[in-house]
Amino acid sequence: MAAAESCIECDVAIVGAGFAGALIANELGKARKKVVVLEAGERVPPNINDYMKRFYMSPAKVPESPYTPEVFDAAGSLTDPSKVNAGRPTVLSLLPKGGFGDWTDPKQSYLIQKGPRPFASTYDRVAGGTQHWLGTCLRFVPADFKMKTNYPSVPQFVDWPIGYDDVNSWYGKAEEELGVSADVEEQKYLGIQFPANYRYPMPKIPSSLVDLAVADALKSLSADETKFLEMETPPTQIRVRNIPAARNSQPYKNRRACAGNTNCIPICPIQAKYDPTITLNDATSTGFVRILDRTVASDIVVGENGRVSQVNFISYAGPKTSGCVKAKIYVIAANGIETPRLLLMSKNGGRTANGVANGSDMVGRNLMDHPYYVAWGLTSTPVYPYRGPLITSGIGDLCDGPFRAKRGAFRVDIGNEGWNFVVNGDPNVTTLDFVNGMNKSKVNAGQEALFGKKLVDTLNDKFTHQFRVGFLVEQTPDLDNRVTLSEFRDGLGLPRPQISYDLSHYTRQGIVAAHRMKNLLFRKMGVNDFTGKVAKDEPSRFDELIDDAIVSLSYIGAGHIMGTCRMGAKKDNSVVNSFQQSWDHENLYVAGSSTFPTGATANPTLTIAALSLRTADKILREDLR
Amino acid sequence: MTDLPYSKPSSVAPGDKENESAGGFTRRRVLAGAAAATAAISVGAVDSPASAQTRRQDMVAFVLLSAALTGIAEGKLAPNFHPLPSPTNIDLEQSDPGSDPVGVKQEYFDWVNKRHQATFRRLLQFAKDSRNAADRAQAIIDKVQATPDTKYLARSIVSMWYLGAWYDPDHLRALVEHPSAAPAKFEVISPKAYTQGWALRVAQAHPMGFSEMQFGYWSRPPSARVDFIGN
Repeated sequence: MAAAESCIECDVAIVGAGFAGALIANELGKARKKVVVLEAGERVPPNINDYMKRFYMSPAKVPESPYTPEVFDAAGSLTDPSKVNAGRPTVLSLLPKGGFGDWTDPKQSYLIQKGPRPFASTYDRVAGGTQHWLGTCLRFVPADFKMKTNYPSVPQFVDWPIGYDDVNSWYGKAEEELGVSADVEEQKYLGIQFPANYRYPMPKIPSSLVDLAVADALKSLSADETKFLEMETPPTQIRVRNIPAARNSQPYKNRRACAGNTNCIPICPIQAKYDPTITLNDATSTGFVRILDRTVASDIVVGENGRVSQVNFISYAGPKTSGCVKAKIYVIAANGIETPRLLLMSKNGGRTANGVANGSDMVGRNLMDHPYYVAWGLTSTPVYPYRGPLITSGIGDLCDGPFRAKRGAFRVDIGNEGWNFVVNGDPNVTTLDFVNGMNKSKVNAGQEALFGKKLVDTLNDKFTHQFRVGFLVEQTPDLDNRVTLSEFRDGLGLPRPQISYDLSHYTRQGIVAAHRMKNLLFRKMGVNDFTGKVAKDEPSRFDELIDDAIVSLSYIGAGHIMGTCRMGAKKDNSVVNSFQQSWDHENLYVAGSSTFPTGATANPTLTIAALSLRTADKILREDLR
Repeated sequence: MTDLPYSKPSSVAPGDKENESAGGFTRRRVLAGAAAATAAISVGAVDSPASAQTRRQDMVAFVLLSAALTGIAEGKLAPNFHPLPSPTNIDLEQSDPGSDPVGVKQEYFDWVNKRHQATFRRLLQFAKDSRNAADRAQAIIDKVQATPDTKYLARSIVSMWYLGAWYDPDHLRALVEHPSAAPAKFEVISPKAYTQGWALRVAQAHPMGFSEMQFGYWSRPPSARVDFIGN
């Protein structure tokens, strides 16, 4: 491998071009600071046509389907991760042991999963792999920042070194940058406050008919029925609210209003949904930001003085070459798995044998997600799914309450996409059932095979009644939920991430409460429950005693990778301070949801964006004066 | 968003007499046993170039066949489709198979013709023979169901229109005769085919990732089903 003769020099070197990396690069570029961004994935293309083509042609329209590397190889197997330069997990490698997609098979799964349960979230590698996000832009509720103080009975919880008031104004700046559509009055709940006269950049995105059906059902909740939730507040407080989203409700920053393509994940065909390629474009337009794609950071070099002196990388844009970048300030903004992987890989000839920034031994620990409990059924009257953005509303009022002393909170997502992903790919599955006399969807028990008008009548009836709901459950930070380095290598010869992962009793009890809430909601709505029985070999399966019966439950990933470089108030038990600055290396920052000490129930993106803007401000004010 | 299923065109292209060799060929096929026909046709179709008129008649038959099997109106599957002189008295030569700008029907026709030509010719002949039946759709469906070959290819054709994807008839038959937990195998025919899928239009919606509607439509009830599929 050829080596560069001299390092690239700049003011700030950033590893990762996702939300955090893009936003920080843009802020610094606007301030005329020279920035180099190292991005492991492919170049951001000039338009999304190739992504759309790949999406349309993909038989499995999974979140990764529009993007590279190809999910499948030419033989139709999952691409062997040992041959991929910048690998990434896929939901197709979370399947039972022994067959296609075996979650423990290093030949199929990029992550080396040691269990006991699968870490079920995935990520991508273009623009930080964040284009397939949903667009949800929730703020945390104030209690989310003070979990130890509020719920001292839960030993895993810690407080953030900052509170809601410290990030309130940064949330506003992030909402402006991403372009969030929401209504301020509707978003004031559980203590969320806004500055006086604050307005979201755009009006809220209207509710879907599915949302209205749920809202109607909640109106008749009684105190008795909701006792299991152990709320302090009356059940009338449980209501459907629109979810703030970085989707345009009117033209904004040269992008169109949402046309309801029902495809936010994996890709918005008209870019009405914000993604970091937009900020990356702004950043490079400043003339001060340079993005090196297909460039994988492989080593963070720390000098004798404890400061980072350079970052080494491998470029695979052409023949593989090695290179380096020297800067005054370094920001590692890969993600909750790739960031600790890089820190742990950087051993500096033994001087940082446990990895860079790891004096606390917290790098890689406390890996969190929002285990996602999903249920589905058929409604009694049509709700017309497959229309509008994937999700327009949810129930946020169950995110905090006294129950959090005992079990995880949850937030409810109301799906507008029918049974699309819960039956492994509708409309195909149900259509084929009635065309070919099968019953994979479970709604064709008579295995009828239909043509003509009967087919149309039946499919219209089934599809317009499909309903899907999801519960994002709070997960405790657990020391042994951990990213370490595996002996298995990727295509560049670098160690792949190894994951140990489990759900604590507290987290599982959150899923149990979600299951009960599902039963209540379905009863109130008159939904005929079709939630599949959890297969015996389902990797995420677990059994719980609920009302004197053993119930098998399972979860999927929310895509929210958090916690592996936690921030804190003290050097000995955290990786970074509230500005996401390493305690060990003054000129090193870690940005992104890896710094979250606790995970709450809100999707992490808006908080990532707010913290990133705060970090960029700190770098400009103090480090690069 | 209503497209009338039928509307009379301002002018009708003059129809030539049906190409005798091709026409005789297709009639002969129906009379022949399935196996013999398969052998004869696969040779014949390669050897005899179909005239423009034959291709046009076959396309009219394909649209009639597809509408009967899918339950979606001819004028929706093939915009500007004009059965002439009238929808109940269809002359294959006079009728216009449509001139829609998207034109996925030709792609589908060629796709099936390339893979299962013999059985496909039989299906087209069913449509031709039943074109003026009192209940055309049911007449075609009844004929199609008579043998496994025609039945499963018909199911493949329905899946193609609904999903823009190809589920091979042999695979569909295997799925029924040897049920397994494995998911059905298919390939998406083309990006265009995916965007023209009817399954979610039957659901009064749109293919995921291909909305032709405007901001906020999802907060109101959809148009009637007939506006989407003509039935």
